[in-house]
Amino acid sequence: MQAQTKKVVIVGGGTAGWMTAAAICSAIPRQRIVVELVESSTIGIIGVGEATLPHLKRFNDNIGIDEAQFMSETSATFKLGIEFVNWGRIGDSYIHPFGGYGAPLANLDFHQLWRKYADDAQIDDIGGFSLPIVAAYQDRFEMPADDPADLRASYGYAYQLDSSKYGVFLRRHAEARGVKRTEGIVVAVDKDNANGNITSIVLDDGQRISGDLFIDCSGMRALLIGDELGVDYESWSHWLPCDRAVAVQSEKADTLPPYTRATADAAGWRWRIPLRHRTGNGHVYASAFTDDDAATDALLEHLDRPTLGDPRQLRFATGKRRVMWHNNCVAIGLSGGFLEPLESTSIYLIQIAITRLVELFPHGDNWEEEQSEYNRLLDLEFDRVRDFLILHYHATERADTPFWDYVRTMPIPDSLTEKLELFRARGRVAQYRQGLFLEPSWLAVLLGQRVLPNHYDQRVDLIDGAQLRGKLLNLKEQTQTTAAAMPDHAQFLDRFCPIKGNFAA
Amino acid sequence: MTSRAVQRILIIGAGFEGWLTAAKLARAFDTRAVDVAVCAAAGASAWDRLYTIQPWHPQDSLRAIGINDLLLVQYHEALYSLGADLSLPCAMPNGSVWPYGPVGIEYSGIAFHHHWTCEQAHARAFFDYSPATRAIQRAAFAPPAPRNAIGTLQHEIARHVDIDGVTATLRQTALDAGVERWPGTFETADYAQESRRIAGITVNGEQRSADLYIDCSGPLRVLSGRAKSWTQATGAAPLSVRTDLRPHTAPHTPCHSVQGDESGWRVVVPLQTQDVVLKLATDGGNGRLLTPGRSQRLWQDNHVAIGFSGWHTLPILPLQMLLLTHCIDRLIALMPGVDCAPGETLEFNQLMARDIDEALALQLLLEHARTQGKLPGSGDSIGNQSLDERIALFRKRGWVVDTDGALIDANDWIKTMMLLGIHPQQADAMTGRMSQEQRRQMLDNLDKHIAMVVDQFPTLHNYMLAAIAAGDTASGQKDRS
Repeated sequence: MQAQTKKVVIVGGGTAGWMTAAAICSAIPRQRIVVELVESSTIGIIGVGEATLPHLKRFNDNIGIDEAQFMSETSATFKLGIEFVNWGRIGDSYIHPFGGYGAPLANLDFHQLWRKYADDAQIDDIGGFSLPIVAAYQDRFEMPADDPADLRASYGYAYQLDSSKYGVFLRRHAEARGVKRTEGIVVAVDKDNANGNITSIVLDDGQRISGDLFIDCSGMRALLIGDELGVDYESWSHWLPCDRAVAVQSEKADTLPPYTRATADAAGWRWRIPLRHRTGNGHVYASAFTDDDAATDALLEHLDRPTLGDPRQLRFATGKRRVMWHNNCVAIGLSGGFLEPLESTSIYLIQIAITRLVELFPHGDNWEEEQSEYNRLLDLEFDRVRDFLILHYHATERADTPFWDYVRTMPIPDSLTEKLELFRARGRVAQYRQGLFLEPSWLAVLLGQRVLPNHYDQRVDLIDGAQLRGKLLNLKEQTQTTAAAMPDHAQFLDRFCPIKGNFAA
Repeated sequence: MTSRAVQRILIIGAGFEGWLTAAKLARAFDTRAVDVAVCAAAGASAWDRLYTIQPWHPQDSLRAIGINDLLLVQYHEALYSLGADLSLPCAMPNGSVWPYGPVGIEYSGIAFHHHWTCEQAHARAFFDYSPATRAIQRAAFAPPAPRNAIGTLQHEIARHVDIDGVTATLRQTALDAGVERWPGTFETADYAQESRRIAGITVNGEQRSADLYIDCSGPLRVLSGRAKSWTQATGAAPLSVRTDLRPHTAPHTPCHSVQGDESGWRVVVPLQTQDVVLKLATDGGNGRLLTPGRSQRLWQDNHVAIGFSGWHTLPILPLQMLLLTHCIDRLIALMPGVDCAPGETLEFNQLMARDIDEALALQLLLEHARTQGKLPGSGDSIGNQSLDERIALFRKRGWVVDTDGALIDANDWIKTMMLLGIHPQQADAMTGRMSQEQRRQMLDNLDKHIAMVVDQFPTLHNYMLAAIAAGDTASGQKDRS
């Protein structure tokens, strides 16, 4: 049976809109689909996610993007993880790496072996057993090895990029593959009274654009899914109380660390994202615990280089739409939900929404099964990311400000309580296959924020103690030696993706 | 607060499940650190023959505790298998074999059945793209190995074994590893007041206690029956079970056969010289009652149900053994302290429930075809909403719903749906990234490669002769040493 051609209308450009357009036109043959994207150059974009997760590489590869070209054009740097400073206690720091720790022995997870020696001064820092962490702190980077036996195969990488440039890059890519861009502001939406489906959108110049499937990438305005279709927004602000951000760019720093830094502040946290031509900075905070001026002052006070332009304020509400796909409208990006940028999940959540949409791209006229499955899968993603983000706030010993006291003592979802109980007993991490953050990520944050298991797997004691300790020390030394042999991150970038021209702003 | 590690484990039930659990626990924890004891429960081995089919996989339970294939072939009637041959009271347009391992190869990031859907007029029958199916048709066999893999397409196998003999070997393996065998038979369990925690059990009039109690008493459910309520799978009726042995007469083919009709299921699993015949009847009969479903919580306080005391699946496909292995491995991985903290218990129960429910759902499809005498048609309900939705999505576009389980994979669903003639009406839109010519060439090449590889397989008969001879040689060498 030959599927009929579908017209897809994407409302809103920006990262979500152009990622969606580029992916759909790359994945689905042109004879089956027509894609039109409507955006207005007069409406600013939030440009979420300068920091990304390793999954973006796969997305780019799948739609045929050349990595070096992409990195050059988006001023991107490599990223081996995220450093969290002052989260467990003031003065603490750890990196959530894009890779695991150590290596299993006798069918036992490495962290179980490590736990036995967690009080041993030569072994106590589990970060010393993670190549991406050790390399990151030395500002070193190289591509992971292909041979699984090589220690350098133990990590992945992501990018730190200029998201406004990424949008432009994707637009060019998508337009070259047949996506039609239309300039305009949506002023009205026509719906079918019988079934509530959107039939067309009306632009400010009177143009009427009809379609079969409408994708709402209009950001937090949620023009279609929210304003027109009335799908409720489920707020998670009681668990994730940060609701504002102030962002500012600063001049490039002397060093180019291959990691993003998130430093806990009095009522939120500050980010620092090193790009090749500048540094991105921001302060995410809870308006219930501080005000805009104080937040801006805190941000500017901690910059190590002069600013490039004025600080920009953003407001958001953490949570998600009750359903992401309703009638013939799919919400992708901020219109569907937003889980603050702490773990660089914004672009990933766009990516997974697009991937699922492409996989479940509707045939025929009855889309109920696809909708239901799509919404189930997206709910699962959001719920699991949500729990992981809450963990960062809740697993703290800080009580030095009302904000930290609140998040430390607030009620948390049962699903997270269960995960914490499981880990605290004997270091077991809840198992699942689907979802963004798997065992290594949970370990990084739990251990990084001082949630130490009360005990370890009793099978560890079956291994000779002296022999085990010796193996751990060898592994640590091997990790240090391998990291020290890796090239400097900045030099690697210059070779891999040289940038021509002026980097200023 | 730290709770002391478990030091005493008591397994109730001295059948296949009990001794396998004991041997695996002894291997994992070393009986110098943890006491593992087994006590008999009357009738615990009543359904052991339902474990006759032993799937072979890299983390194979038997090999991990030192029971290798040579031993099974030489002493336990082991016969190799590549799949199940089903007969149902309805037309099966794609043949009758449910092969072990995948069918076809993923191309361009798209699962094989989508490519096949696009080209079914040009292509061979769907299951012909499985090396296992083609080998069964020729009564041929070879174990999986890099030399007979076709790209990522590698067939899988199972072994049919004399389960009584294997149980005896397991018992000896466990005893050699330091497991204690308590004389006498389980009588009663004493529960702590106002809780479901077991305080001790009585064996032959004597009180015994442990940190953790494992119920391997099979259908008797000596511990689980009181504390754990049973959730019957929606749409599945109880069946009575009887097992028999008969001499094997026909030439061997590498599969077991399954016949389903209105009276129930008849499963014939060939061994080297005998057939194990499993009869599951709807009329109640005089056998024990198998009620597809599971205990609501396998693990509660300090007692865990493992095997038929915890779940009942149909012995049509070898899922019961996979579940048993998973269950024991998970118990080992989540072994708690003596307080049996709720974290580990909850995680164990959630993971096992997910896997058991998936296995039951898969079998429910076959059960529906048996009881209704027809395949689930478009718009038909089989009385289980989530399964109805899964069928609808597969029929519509070949989509396999992933419920995050670890046991049943997408291939299992694809094979079962396709076997029952539930064909996708539309392939994945991304198949359009390949031209029709490219796809046809891919199918033709795959067909040729499978034929070329399977042509090299010896007959099962010859393979078994060689395996038995190798076993003789190996045991001879062992004796000499």
